[in-house]
Amino acid sequence: MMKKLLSGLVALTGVAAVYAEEAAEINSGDTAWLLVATALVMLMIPGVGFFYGGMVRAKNVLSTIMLVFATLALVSVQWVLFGYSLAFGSDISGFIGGLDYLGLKGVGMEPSGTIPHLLFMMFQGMFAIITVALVAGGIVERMKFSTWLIFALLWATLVYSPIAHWVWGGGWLGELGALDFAGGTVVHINSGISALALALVLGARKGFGSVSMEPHNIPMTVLGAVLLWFGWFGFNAGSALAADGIAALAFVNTNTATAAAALTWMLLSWRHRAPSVLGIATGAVAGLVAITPAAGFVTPLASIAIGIGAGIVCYYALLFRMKRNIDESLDVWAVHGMGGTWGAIATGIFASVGATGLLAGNPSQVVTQLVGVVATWIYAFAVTYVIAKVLDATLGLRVSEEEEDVGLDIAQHGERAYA
Amino acid sequence: MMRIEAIVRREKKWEVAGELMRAGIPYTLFDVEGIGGQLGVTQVEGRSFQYPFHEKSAFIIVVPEEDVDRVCRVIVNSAYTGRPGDGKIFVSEVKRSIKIRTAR
Repeated sequence: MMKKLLSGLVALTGVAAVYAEEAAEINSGDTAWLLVATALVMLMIPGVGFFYGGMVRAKNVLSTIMLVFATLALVSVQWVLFGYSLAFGSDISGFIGGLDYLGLKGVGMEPSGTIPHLLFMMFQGMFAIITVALVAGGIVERMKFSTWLIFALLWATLVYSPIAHWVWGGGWLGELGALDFAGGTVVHINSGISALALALVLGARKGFGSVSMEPHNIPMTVLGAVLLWFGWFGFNAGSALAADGIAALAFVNTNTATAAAALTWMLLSWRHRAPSVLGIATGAVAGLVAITPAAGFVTPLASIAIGIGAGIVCYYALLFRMKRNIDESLDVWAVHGMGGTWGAIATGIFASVGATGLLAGNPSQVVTQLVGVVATWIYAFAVTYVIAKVLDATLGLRVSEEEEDVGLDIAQHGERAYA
Repeated sequence: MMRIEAIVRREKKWEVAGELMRAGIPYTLFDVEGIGGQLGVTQVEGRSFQYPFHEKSAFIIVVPEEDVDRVCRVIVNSAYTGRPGDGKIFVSEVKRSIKIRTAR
């Protein structure tokens, strides 16, 4: 994706350098790193499952983990069959990819950049899966499993693939020069806004606001958060698509911004009440989200500022969501939607490595970033809302009240988490 | 003093606890397992799942006799679903009670 970003950047800044579209040879160092990075991103997906699973009630923990696990399996197959092609196939009007890579036709061991095309496809596939999985956080404890599977398939196809194409697949946002190093817009704004739209159609959990819905296992959530932190090194540093200095920069920025955001959230929760464990874990995820679009474009010092900003923005977004009494249950909107929005804007402010942002004397980058943010908010919200409405009217989005009472583990899956 | 022991659905634990707190009634609560009239079968939307035990929660409440009806009403209202497995309430007499802090 760096390739696309750079080519957009070259166009934007008017540099007359000719960028080599395809490096001719596979580099074994780059390939080795990307194989590992792809596996690291895969580990984030069960990480999301545990992160969410700890935050629901004991009667719904299996169903929550299952939403994520089944998405991993489902979108893995969807991506190979047609998802990859719709995102990265030859450009159609800047909006979506063509069907030339259908069933991975023409995607083989030949180089894409300096790594095999197949590997690039799989690395991107992990991003598609985790984005769909993140959406599940908005709708836990009440959505019908069968309808979720259909939703996941439709959403990956109609929302994820187009937006991935806009930014990385040769679409209009990349051409415009929008900077998104590792998916702040494509993955995080996209999933956060979509979770909100789906949760609004689905409605609140039964008893929301009156019955206590405390997280049943915070250690499980912390485990999920650290798996995310660990896997995110593959997500961000892997997005350099090479084992080089930019990958090292992205790695350092990822760790630094995450730490800064975790500290910020801890201090805010301390001021509010006490230094919360759930808070520091959530803050870390907010930092990971916010540094994602900036990881390879900013200095480590700037990444501290981005992390602190992420802690503040997401913390208050979460309070705002709670005050409005919206049951977007696990705050995908507040953490990923708003964290991603802050990260995209912050990239426009702080970019100084291989791109220039506001502080480096290029204020127009902020405007370009805002265009990307607004377009993603509108597209993701509108299309998700329509998919949700259609599914609600046909298959039904919610389980029955009886099933919600008993808990989805037994009612939907016939199993219990704890015997 | 009377002792009220209420065994309710595990998933109703929070609701019952919340209503008791709102009514100002102190309670002791523990999670229990056992089989009631359904002998371990959970029915959901016409499908049956068989388990060795049902998960329930038990509340123990000790109050003056005149409060018993009020407490039982709070529990019945908050634990009720109308389906088999809603649980039971037992009321019995307490012979003595001693507060540990004051040994009285």
